[in-house]
Formats: sequence, structure tokens, C-alpha cells
Amino acid sequence: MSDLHYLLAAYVVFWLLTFALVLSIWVRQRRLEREIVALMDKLPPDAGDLES
Amino acid sequence: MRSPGRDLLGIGLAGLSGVAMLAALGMVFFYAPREATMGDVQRIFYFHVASAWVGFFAFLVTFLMGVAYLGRRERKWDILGLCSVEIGLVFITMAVVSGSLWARPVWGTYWTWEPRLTISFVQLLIYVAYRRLRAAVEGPERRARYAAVYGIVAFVTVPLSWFAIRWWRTIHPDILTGGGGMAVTSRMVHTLLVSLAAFTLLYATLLRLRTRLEQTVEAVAHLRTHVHTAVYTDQPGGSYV
Repeated sequence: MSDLHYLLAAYVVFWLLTFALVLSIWVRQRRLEREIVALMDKLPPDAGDLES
Repeated sequence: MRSPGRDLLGIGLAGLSGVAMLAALGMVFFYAPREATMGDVQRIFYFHVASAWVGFFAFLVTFLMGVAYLGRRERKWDILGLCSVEIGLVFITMAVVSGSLWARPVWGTYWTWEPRLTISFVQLLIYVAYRRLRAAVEGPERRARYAAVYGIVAFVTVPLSWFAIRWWRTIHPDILTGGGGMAVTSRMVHTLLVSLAAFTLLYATLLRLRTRLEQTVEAVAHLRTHVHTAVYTDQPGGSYV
């Protein structure tokens, strides 16, 4: 492997890890937001205020 | 239940860190000079040092949040400490991997058990154990207390790693004293400073994203309890369906 390959590999690793972290947070956030909508649908209309 | 809505601060931080990262990349490849002895592979150094800086900074935040939690017992300090550890782990991993990729052509090996590298490896394991500890402890208050104490004690690895190249015989370059056979020019210093600023902004963006996720986790847990209670008390004879 030439020196440029090591340089390229280092920057690819950096971007891969950054995108993996962002993607993992984004996927978990979307899943939880869908769960919030599903749970809100299960609540009876007179379930009270959930702001707290 | 209030919906999360648009996070203007998060969007602003993401935009700023995106622009700063592009500027840093541009400087790494088009502004910083080719290092005389190592050649182009030395350009790894800018993101390697910046990754290590963010890793150390993230663990410092966890240390400070641990102290704040033990003093105030407020959940928000525990959440910030946890989120910062996760981001710190990713950046220390980047620093270790990019350092290995730099070491192969320069030292002739991906890895050697010299003091700085050994401490970095141990540090990674210690902060992975922080996550395992949280998963193993029952009860949110107890979990937060244990994690705060662990985060404070684990921080000892940061000054150890920082000073390892000064206290012990090592082959790791020391950019502050110009050791390690690297001729540092003013353009290299500018590039490093922009990289450090860009990575710090990226850390702030990721911390914001990760903290919002943890707040949503808590909101879902609260809502689940509320739904369970509401549905359970609605059933004749108390049977939950």
C-alpha cells in the first residue's frame, strides 16, 4: 500500500465513523418518534395533560 | 405531550460544523505544505490530533457532569455525561485507527505497545466499561450516581495519556515541543487550529443530537407508563389488555 492509500484510508475511516454515529442517532430518534405517535393513539381522549 | 419540533440551535450548529469541516479539509489538502520527511501521509496528523482532542474534551465534559450530578443530583447532568462518553469513544477510536494508519509507513508497524498507544487502548476499554456499568446497574438514581463516580475516576486516563509522551521514553511525536522528527511550519499550525475548531463544532453538534435522543427516550418511557396506567384503570376488574 502506498503512502497515499494510508492517507485515504484514514480519512475514509473518519467519515465512516462520523456518518455511522449520526445515522445511528437519527434511526433511533425516528423510531422513538414513531413510538410516541403510536402511544398517543392508545391514550384515551380523557387521559389528561402530558406536558409535565 | 409536546412534539420535539425543529431544533434551530442544532440546525445552526450542524451548518457551522459542516462549513468548518469543509474549510479544514480544504486546508489539509490544498493549504498545508507537504512535510519534508514523511510526505503526504503526514496530512493524517491534522484529523488525528483533532480527533484525540475531541475525545479528551468529551471525557472532560463527562468528568465535569459527574461532579455536577453528585453536587446537584439533577438528571440533565447524568444525560450529558452519558452522551459525551459515547461521542468521546467514537473520536478516540478515530484517533487510534488514524494513528495506526500513519504509523505503518512511518514506523513500519501499525501498532507498538509504547506508553501513549498503550494508555489510549486502556482508555478505550475503560470508557467502553462505563457503558457496560450503566447497563448493569438497576435504578436510574443509583445508575447515575455510579456513572458519575466512574466518569470522574476514569478521567485520570486523559492527563496520563497527555503527559505520557513527556514522562516516559516514547516514539510518539510531540507537536508542542517539535519532537518526533516533524518540521512544523506556520501553515501547518493554521491548518491544525482550523481542524481543532471544526472538530469542536462537530462535537457540539453531535452532543446536541445525542442529548435530544436521550430526552426522547425519557419521554417515551414516561408516555409508556402513562398509557399503561390509563388503559389499565379503564378496564373493568382492572385487567390489562
